[in-house]
Amino acid sequence: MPSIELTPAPEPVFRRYATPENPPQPRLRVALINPPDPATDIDTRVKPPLGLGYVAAMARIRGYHADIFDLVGDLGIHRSGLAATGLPGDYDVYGFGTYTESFEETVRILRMIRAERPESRFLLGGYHATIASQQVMADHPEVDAIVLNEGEYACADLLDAWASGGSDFGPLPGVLVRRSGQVVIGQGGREQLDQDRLPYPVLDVRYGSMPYADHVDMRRRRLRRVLPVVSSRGCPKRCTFCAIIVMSPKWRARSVESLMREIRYRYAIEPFDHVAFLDANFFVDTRRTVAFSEALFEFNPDITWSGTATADHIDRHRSVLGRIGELNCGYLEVGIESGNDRSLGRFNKWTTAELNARVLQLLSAARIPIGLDFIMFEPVSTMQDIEENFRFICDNELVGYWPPSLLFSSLKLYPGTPIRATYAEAHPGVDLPMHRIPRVGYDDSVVATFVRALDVYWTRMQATTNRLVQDLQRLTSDALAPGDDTVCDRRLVQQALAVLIRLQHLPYRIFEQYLGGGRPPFAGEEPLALLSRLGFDGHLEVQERARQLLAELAGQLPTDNDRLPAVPG
Amino acid sequence: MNQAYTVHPELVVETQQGVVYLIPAGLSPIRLNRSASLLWPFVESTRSAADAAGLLARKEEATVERAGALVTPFITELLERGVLVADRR
Repeated sequence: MPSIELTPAPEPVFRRYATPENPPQPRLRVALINPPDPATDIDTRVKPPLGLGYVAAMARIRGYHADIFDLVGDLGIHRSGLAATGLPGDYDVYGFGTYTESFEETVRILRMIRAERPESRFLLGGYHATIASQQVMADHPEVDAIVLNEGEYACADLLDAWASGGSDFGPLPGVLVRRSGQVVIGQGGREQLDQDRLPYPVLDVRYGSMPYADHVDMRRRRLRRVLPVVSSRGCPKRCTFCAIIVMSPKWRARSVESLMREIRYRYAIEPFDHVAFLDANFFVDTRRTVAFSEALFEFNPDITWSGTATADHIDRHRSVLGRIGELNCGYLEVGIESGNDRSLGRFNKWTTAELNARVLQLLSAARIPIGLDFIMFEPVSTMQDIEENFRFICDNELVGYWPPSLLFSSLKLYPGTPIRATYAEAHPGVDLPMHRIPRVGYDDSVVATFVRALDVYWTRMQATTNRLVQDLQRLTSDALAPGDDTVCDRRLVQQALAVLIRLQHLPYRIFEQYLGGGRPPFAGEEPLALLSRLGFDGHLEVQERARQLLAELAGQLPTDNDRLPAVPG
Repeated sequence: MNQAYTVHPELVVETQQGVVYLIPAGLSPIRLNRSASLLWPFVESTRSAADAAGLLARKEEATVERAGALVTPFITELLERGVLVADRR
C-alpha cells in the first residue's frame, strides 16, 4: 500500500505576529511598570497598559524576559504592598510608563525599588518623560535613561546595549542615557513604526491592581468581554489641550487586514464579545472604519466594537454612521469637550456647539451610544461659558448622563501643550511646575466659588452617590438578569431603579439650581452654605432611601461571589 | 413632578428634571428622549400592561417634542385616565 505523504498545513498567517512568550534563557530580565493613577476611582473603566504591552513584546523578541506590573489602582503603595505585587523581584531593568498626573508617584516607587535593587537600571518612557526629558534627567539622578516617543525599538536597542555589557555604547536614536555624570542624547529620529509588522502586544500582566473593565452593552444591557486593541498612533487634530499630539502628532493607522489578523489570533486563544480601540482617534478614515466593521461582522456578527472620535470627523463621515450602527458599533467615545463656542475656539476643536449638537443627533439617529468627553471648567471660564455648557447638556438630552464626570471636569494644563503656554503667557506670576498638573485657580471669582462648592459636593456627596449607584446597578442587574427566575420582589426592583435614576440626577440638580435659581450666583459664598441653598439636605434623603432599598434588595437576592460587576446606567 | 408613579399593574414612571423614565416590571428603565423610536422597545416589551402600551404608542408623535414640554400633559393625562397611580411608599 503506497504511503501517502501528508503536506503539513501552513501556519495560519495570523500567528506570524503572535505575542511572543518569555524566552527560556533571557539575556536580561525586565519589569515594565504602569504607575498608580491618582484619577483612578470606583468609576474608572480600567484598561490594560497596551503601550507597555508593545514594548514588552518587542523586548521578548530580542531575547529578554519582560513582565508587566500594572499598579494603576495602587496609589500610595508602601514597601510591603509593593513586595506583595512581586516587585522589586530579581529584575535587571525596571521601566516605567510615565504620565504627568502620576509622575511624583512614579518617582517615589522607583526610589523604593532602587533602594533594594541598586545594581539594576531604571528607565522611563511615555508621555511625561518624553515631553520633559531634559528636566527629568536633571531633577532625578536616580533615572538612568529615557526612551522618547514610541518606544518599541528604542527600548529594545537600549536593552541590547545594556546586555552587551557596560555603558560605553554609542548614542542611540530616541534615547537619553546618563554617562559619567553627563546626559547623552541620541540624535536623529527613527523611522516611524510600521504598525502592521509589530508583534501583538503582551496583554497578560504579572500583577494587576484592578480588574480590567468589561464593555457595557447599552443596547442589550449586558456585560461583554473586551479585547483591547490599538489601531492607530497619533491624531490629525490639533486640540490645544491634548498631550497626545505633542508626543505623536502624525496619525498613522494599521490596515484592516492587520487588525483582523490580531482579532482572529486573539479569538482563537480566548473568545471575546467586544473590541475596544484604545487609540487617540479611531474614527478618522471613513473607508477603513466601514471596511473594518464589515470584516468584523463577517468574522462574527455578535462581536461589537468601540472607538474614539471627534465631532468634525463624525459629521464628515455621517453617511456611514447608519451602516456602522447597523453592523456592530457598540459606542463611540466622542470628544465633544464643550457646549460653548468660546471654549471650543480656545481648544482649537474645529467644531462649534451647533455642530456638536448635530453630531449627537446623528449618533442618536444611527443608534450608536456615546461616551462623552467634556471639559466643563477652564481657568479662564466665565459664568456665561458654564451656563452655555449646561444649556447644551439640557438641550441635547444629556441630563442624567452617567457617570456625571462631565459636570466636574476641569481643564488640565499638561506640559508641552499650547493651551498651557497660552495660560503661562497670560498669567506670568503663576507657578507651573513641570512634573505635575498645576492647580491654577479660576480668573472669574464666581466660577471659582462654584468650583469650590463642587469640590466639596464631590467629597461629601458625589463619592457616596457613586458607590450607591454602583451597588444599586449591581443588585438590580442581578435581579433583571435574563433567565434568572429570581425570588426578588418585582415592585422592589422597580423602586430601586427609580431611586437609581434619582441618584443619577442629583449632581445635575446642583447645576440646575445654581444656574436657574432665584438668586444670581455671586463670588465668595461659603461652599456649605451654597450647597445647602441648592438642596444638599434633599440629596442626603435620596441617599438614605437608596441605602434602605439596597438593604432590602440584598436581603432578597442570593449572595454569591459570581455576581456581575456594576453596570452603569 | 419629581416623583415615581405606578402604572397598573406593573409600570413605574419616574420623572426627573423634565426627563421621563419608564420602568416596566422585570425590565431596565427606558428613557423617553425626543427620539420616538426609543418608545418601541417599551411598547414591545409591555404587552402585559396593555392599557399603558396603547396610550404610549398613541403618544409617539408627541414625544418628538421637547421632552420637558411633554412631561406634564403626558403624566396628567395618564393620571386622569387612571392609568397612573401615585407611588405611595
